[in-house]
Amino acid sequence: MRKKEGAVIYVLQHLQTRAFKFIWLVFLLTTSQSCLAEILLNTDSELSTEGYFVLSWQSNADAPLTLQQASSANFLRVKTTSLPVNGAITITGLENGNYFFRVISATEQSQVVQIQVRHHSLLRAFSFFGLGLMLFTILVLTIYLGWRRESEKHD
Amino acid sequence: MIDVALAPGLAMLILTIFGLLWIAAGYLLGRKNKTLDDHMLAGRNVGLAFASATAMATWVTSNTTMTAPQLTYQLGIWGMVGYSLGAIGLILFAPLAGRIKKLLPHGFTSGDFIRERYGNLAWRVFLIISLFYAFGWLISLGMAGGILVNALSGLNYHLGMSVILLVCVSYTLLGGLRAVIATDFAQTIIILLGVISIAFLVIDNIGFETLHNNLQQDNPMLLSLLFPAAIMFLFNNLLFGVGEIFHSNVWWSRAFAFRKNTGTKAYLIGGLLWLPIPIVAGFIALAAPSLGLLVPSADMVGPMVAGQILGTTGAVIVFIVIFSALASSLDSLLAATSDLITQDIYRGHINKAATDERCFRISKYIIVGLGLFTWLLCLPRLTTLASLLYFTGAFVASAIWPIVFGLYFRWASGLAAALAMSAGTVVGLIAYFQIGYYVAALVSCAVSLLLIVTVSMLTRSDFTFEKLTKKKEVLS
Repeated sequence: MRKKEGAVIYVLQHLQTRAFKFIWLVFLLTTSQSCLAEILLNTDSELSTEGYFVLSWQSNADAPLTLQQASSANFLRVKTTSLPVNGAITITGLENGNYFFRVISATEQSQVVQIQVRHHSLLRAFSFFGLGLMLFTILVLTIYLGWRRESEKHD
Repeated sequence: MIDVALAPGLAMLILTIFGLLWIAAGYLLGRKNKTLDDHMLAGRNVGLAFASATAMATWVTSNTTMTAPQLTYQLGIWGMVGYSLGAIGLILFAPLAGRIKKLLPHGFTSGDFIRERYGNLAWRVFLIISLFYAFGWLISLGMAGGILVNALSGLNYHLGMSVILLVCVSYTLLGGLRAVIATDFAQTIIILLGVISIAFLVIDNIGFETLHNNLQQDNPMLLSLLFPAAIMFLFNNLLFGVGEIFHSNVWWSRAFAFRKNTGTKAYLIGGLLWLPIPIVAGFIALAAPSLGLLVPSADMVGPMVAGQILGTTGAVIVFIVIFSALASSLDSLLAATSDLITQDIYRGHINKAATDERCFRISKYIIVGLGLFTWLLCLPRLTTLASLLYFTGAFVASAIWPIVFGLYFRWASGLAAALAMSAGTVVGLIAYFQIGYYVAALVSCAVSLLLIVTVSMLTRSDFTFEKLTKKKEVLS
C-alpha cells in the first residue's frame, strides 16, 4: 500500500514539475508578447510615409502610465511621456528610421510596437511639386491671356 | 478630451446669444426680399465692403480654424504655408468674377453657365460633382459644429449639432443671401480679432525660441523645408482650393450678387485678407509639443492649445471664432446649394416652365429640406464623413479647366469638358488611394487638362459667347 502511495506521489510530483515548467514557459512567452498584459498598445499604421501616426492604449490598472519611445528594441535611451489610463496620442514630425514604443506602469508593461518612418523620396516629392507648378503656371497664363483678350476687345 | 473646457451653461449661453443675434438679423434683412433675385442674389446690388467680407468669411470655415492647425501639426511649416495657398483660389477667381457678371448678367448658378456653354452631358456631370462636394461640405460642417461643442464644453454632440444647424437654416430661410452676406460681415470681424488674439497670446506665453528648440529636438521634420509629403501637398492644396472656388455655386452666386465692377476687387481683397489666417491659426499648433499636450486626434490640436494656454478665456474665444466660422460657411452653402437645386434640378429637370415666384417658394422648402437632410446624416456622428472632404479634391479639381477655358475660349467643347471632369475625378481618386490625399487634386487637375485640350482639338467647337447673354435674357 505504501509502495503504491509512494509511486502515485512520485508520478504526481513528476507531472506537476513538468506541468509547472510548461505553464511557466507559456507565461514567459505570452507576457513578453502582451497576450496576458494589462496594458494594450496599438497603432493606426506600422509604416508611416508622412512622419506622423496615432498610438492608442488601454489599461485596466490604476497605476500611472508612461509611454517610452526609443530608437532601438532594447530601449537603452528612451523619451518618456506621462499618460492617462486610456487614450490616444498623435506622434508627429519624425525623421526616417525605426521607432519603438511601449507603455509601462509600476507593475505592467505593454507589448512593444515598432513603427517604421520612411518618407516619400524627394524625387517623387519634387516630381509632384513640378507638376503642380506647371499646372499653376498654365492656369495663371490662361486666365491672364483670357483677361487681356477681353480687355482689348472692350477697349 | 481638452484639458480646459467651457462650463456647459456658458457654452449654451454663447450659442443662444449668437444664435438669436443671427436669426434676428435674418428676419430684419429678409423683410426687404420681394423677388427671387432679392432672396437668391441679394438684389444683385452688394457693395464692396460687404462683398469683400463675405468672400473672406465664407472661405474661413471650420476647416480653416481646425484643419490649418492640424496640417501644421502633421506637415509642419509647409503644411501651414500650403494651407494658406488656398487664398490663391479667391485671388484667381477675381478676374473670373468680372467675366461671369459680364457674360451672365441675369444668371443664377454655376450650373446655368455649364448647361448653356457645354450642353446637357457636361452639365449633368458637373451637377454630380457640384452636389457631391456641397453635401460633403455641408455634412462635415454640421458634424464639426457638434464635435466642437462637445469637445469644448461637454455638451451633447447632437444638441450642439442641432442648435447650429437650426440657427443657420433659420436665418438663411428668413433672410436669403442678403442675411448671409450681412452676418458674414460681422462674423469676419469676430474671426479676425479672435484668431489674432490667440496667436499673440501663444507667442507671449511660450516664446519663439522655446518653440523652435523643442521642435528641433523632438519633431524635427515639422521645421524641415525638405519634408516630402508637405512638398507634394503645397500645389495640391492650392489646386484643391482653386477647384472648390471655381466650380462652386457659393462663389458664382456671389459673383452674380455683387454690384457691377465690384466682384473682381472684392475677391482680390477677400483673398488677401484670408491669406494670413491659416498661418496664424496653424502657428498655434506648433506650441503643442512645448506644452507637452497629448493630442489624441490631430484636428483637435488648435482648440487644445488655446484651452491649455488661455484657460476659460481661450476656450471662449475659440468657441466664438469657430462658431462664427461654421455659421459663415454653413449659411452660404445652404443658400448656394438651395439655388443650385432650385435652378438646375427643379427648373432644369422637373418643372421647366416654373415661374420666378414659384421658384422663390420652392427655394425656401429646399433650404428646410437641406437642413433636415444634413441633420439626419450628421446624427450618427460618422467621423469618416469628415474625411469626405479630402475625396472631393479629386472631384472639384477636375472642373477647373472646363470653367476657365469655357469662360474665355471658344474652342473648348462640351464632350471634352464632360470627359475631362469624369476622367479627372476617377484618376484623382485612384491617386488618393494609391499615394495619399495630398496628391488627389493635383492628379485630377493634370488629367482634366490633358483631356480637355486633346478632345477639344479633335472635336473643335466654335462657341458664340453672345448666346449666353441672350439665353439668360429669355429665361429671366
